[in-house]
Amino acid sequence: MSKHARFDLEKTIGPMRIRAWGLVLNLIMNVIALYGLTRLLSDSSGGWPLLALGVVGTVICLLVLARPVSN
Amino acid sequence: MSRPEDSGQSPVYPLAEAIPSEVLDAEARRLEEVSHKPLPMRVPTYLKLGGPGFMGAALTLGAGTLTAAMLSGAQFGYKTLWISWVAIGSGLFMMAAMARFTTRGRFRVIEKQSERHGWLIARFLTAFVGLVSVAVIFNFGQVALGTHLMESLAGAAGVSFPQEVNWPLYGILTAWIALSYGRGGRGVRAVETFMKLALLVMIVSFGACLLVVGIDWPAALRGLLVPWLPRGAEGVDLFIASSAAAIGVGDWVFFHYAGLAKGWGPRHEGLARVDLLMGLALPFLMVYFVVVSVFAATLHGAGAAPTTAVELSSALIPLLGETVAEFAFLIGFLAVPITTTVALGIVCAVGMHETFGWDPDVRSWRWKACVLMPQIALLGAFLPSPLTLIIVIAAFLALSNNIVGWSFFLLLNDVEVMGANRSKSYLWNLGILLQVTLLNCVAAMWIFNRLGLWG
Repeated sequence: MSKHARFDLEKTIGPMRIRAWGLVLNLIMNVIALYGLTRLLSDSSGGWPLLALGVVGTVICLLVLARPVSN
Repeated sequence: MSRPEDSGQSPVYPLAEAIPSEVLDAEARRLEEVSHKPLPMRVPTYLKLGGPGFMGAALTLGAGTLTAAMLSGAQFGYKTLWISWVAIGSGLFMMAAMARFTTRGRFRVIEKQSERHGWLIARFLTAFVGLVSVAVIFNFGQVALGTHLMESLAGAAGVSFPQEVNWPLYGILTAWIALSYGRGGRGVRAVETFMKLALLVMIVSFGACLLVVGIDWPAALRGLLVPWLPRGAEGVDLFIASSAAAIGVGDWVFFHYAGLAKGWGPRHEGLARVDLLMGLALPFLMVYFVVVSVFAATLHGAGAAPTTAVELSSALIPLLGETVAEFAFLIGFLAVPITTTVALGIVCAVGMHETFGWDPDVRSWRWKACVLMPQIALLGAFLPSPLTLIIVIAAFLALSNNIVGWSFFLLLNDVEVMGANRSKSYLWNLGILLQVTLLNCVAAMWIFNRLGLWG
């Protein structure tokens, strides 16, 4: 948790807070994971790396974004 | 109308203004009194004072959810029962956020969304797409099912009462109940009581059918506890669609505004959470379980199953054998579209007023006209449903539910909006994010489907 505390999710970058940018990144990771899954299910190549990247990215996004605002 | 300083319950929503302050204060005192008792002793009070959760269950348990449950039972037997508690469980985190906005935030969430995240997300995606469009378009399915069931019920009693003739009765009944919601605090309570009774009718009626057809308990318990999905894309589709579809924008926002209409304040948060469990989750799980089980015990493995609610119910009725069971099924099933149509009328009125930023004066013709808007679906009794519109709205919903979910998650974690009442729980945030991720996947799959990449 101490690593997470190094950056402030409530800091604004451009039009949005980092927490909002994180939600966008999570969506991108979800899309990558599902795209990897479609390639796997259709027996196309390159499905596993994309699925792994998307799933790991999604998990990291969720674990970081779930951190509540500190006092 | 004097309100004691310590009540903290002055209404923030005009629908609650008709509730006398003494009533709200008495409720708060009663909640305070029972709060020290063990949970089983508190439940009767919570059941009596709750209501928005039951309204939410009535909204969620519509023709669409019941069709999905019947199809699931007919196609896969008991095997997919576990999805129901995953679906409702993942949705409860967001519903708890709505309870927080109602009781401690004490603001109209769409207005606050508009201030913080802009009118496009608040007024258009949440209010217009998530509430108004859903209420009007999805009522076609309720009317088609409801009038068909009235025809079947009359037919079972030996009377001819076809859809082409019975639709005015359906319209008058549902419109009258929905309009009652605007008749002050007593009206709110009367509609909530109607919803509670209707849910009870569903559970008892479908339960009676289950007693007649029997249940394979080992298979049902395995289906509840052991996750199973069909292989390949069908399984992924089924899981994501079923788990994300149970509770959506309409349910989130409706629960919030129904709580505001009851004048809920800070001391009602515990009640609101129990209402979510006892009023929304439990009836949903019970009805879903019983319906899946009835169809698993009868139509599963009996060849190609029909795909619409009307065909499925028609296929089931001869298998029930007993006339009493046939009546029970039809009456319980009729409660489904009626309660949903009533809820959709109120959803539409709330949505229209939030879309245009109007103050909801329940005595006004504008409020009444908005409640009656979904009744245009009465055309569905004798015309085909507007398929193109349904597809367009479903697409908008698939692509926007997640954005609305982001917005609510951000509001709950916004210090400037929630102050000390913001989420301070890692697990709560994680639960909401899991549901938002499911909704992201629904949006992505919709696009993949259109691009021919899926299935």
